[in-house]
Amino acid sequence: MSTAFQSPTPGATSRRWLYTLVILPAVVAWMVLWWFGSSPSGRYFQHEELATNKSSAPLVLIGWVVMITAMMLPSTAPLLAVFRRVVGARPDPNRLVVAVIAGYGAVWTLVGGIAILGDSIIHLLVDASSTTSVADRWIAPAVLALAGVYQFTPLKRRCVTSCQSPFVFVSRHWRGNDPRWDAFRLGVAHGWFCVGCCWTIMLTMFAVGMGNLGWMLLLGAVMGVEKNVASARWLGPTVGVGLLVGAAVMAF
Amino acid sequence: MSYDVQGTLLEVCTCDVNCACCWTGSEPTGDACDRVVAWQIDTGTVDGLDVSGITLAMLGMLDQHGAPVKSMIFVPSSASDAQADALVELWSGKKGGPMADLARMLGEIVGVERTTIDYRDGGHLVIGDRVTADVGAAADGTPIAADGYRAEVPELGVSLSVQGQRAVHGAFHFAS
Repeated sequence: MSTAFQSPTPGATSRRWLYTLVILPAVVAWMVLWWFGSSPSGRYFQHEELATNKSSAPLVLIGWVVMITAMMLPSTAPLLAVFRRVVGARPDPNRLVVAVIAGYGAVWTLVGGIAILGDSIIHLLVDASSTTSVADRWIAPAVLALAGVYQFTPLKRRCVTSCQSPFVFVSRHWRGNDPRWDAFRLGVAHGWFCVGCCWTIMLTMFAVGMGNLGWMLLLGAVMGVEKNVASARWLGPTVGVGLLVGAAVMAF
Repeated sequence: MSYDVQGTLLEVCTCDVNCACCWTGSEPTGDACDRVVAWQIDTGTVDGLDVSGITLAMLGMLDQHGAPVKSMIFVPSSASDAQADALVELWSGKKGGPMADLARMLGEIVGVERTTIDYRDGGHLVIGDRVTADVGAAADGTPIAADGYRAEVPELGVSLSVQGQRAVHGAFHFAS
């Protein structure tokens, strides 16, 4: 094969892209979350604010995107590393990595939008009904129970497996004829598998701890391990049991 | 120059960690990584030529940094010369598209050998008298070379027999 295809030292590829495109944004996002969490405007990032002040929905969405950057972006590093390696001989590998991140972020932003909309609708319905206290009592446990049961479904298993093998993922989804668009689509595909892995945890986050740094660190670590460490198969079911227990405790 | 091949792939290597250290840029276990990859093409065409049902394999060496050094490609004797040429060109990156990107990971191709390739059930791979790999599931469900991975490829200076190292299998789809 032609050696012109190879970068001079493919093995010793600089990791600068990783610091610039993944680690730096994530650190900045954590700092923003910490700063907002300890400032009076921190409440705008919390979903309780939605119930009392509908106009803050866009702010909650911004808070959601910052939270995704802090919690989810680092766990995509292995996929991005594989992808960066594969496209390393192309003229603009870093731009392609950015396109993957953009596709990934677009999916999570859409999911955040849907969660916020759903939350608003549920609160509107509850406010309109005369059985407010009954409904209020059951919403949170129902959400947790749903999240807990999902942890045991084949769909969840399939999504985690897909996340855990970035090499196979790229072998399956990379086209590269229209590089930036194809990279964006690869990011979108990864985003949906990632949502399939983690929506339960992010929903829990939305319910209990948006803006709560401790919860975000804990759940972010759980997701990072679950997505990337194949031997941690006990983690998903453990989280499922935890959610079901949580639902039972809240309900009774 | 157009192609569309899809099927399932198996990768077995000599590392303790997740396969494809070369892809993630992490360093292999020990001084190097000698990996075998088989691509079972369920359906595929290369420039209009049908290549469905062919399993292509390669044995590749990675250095201590996970960088590709050199590889040997194996094409089944049952494939026609036209099919073999088309697949080797495709896997060498000469047909553009995603395979041009992925071919970078093969390093220098030292040879192409026509031999028998037996690949079954996503886990059992025999390449002539060169390579045998039997992949099963570890106690936690992750794929490992449970019953061993042996390779004798003097052209690459590879002679190995290991057991319990990591493996990866899954689907692939290359199209351009």
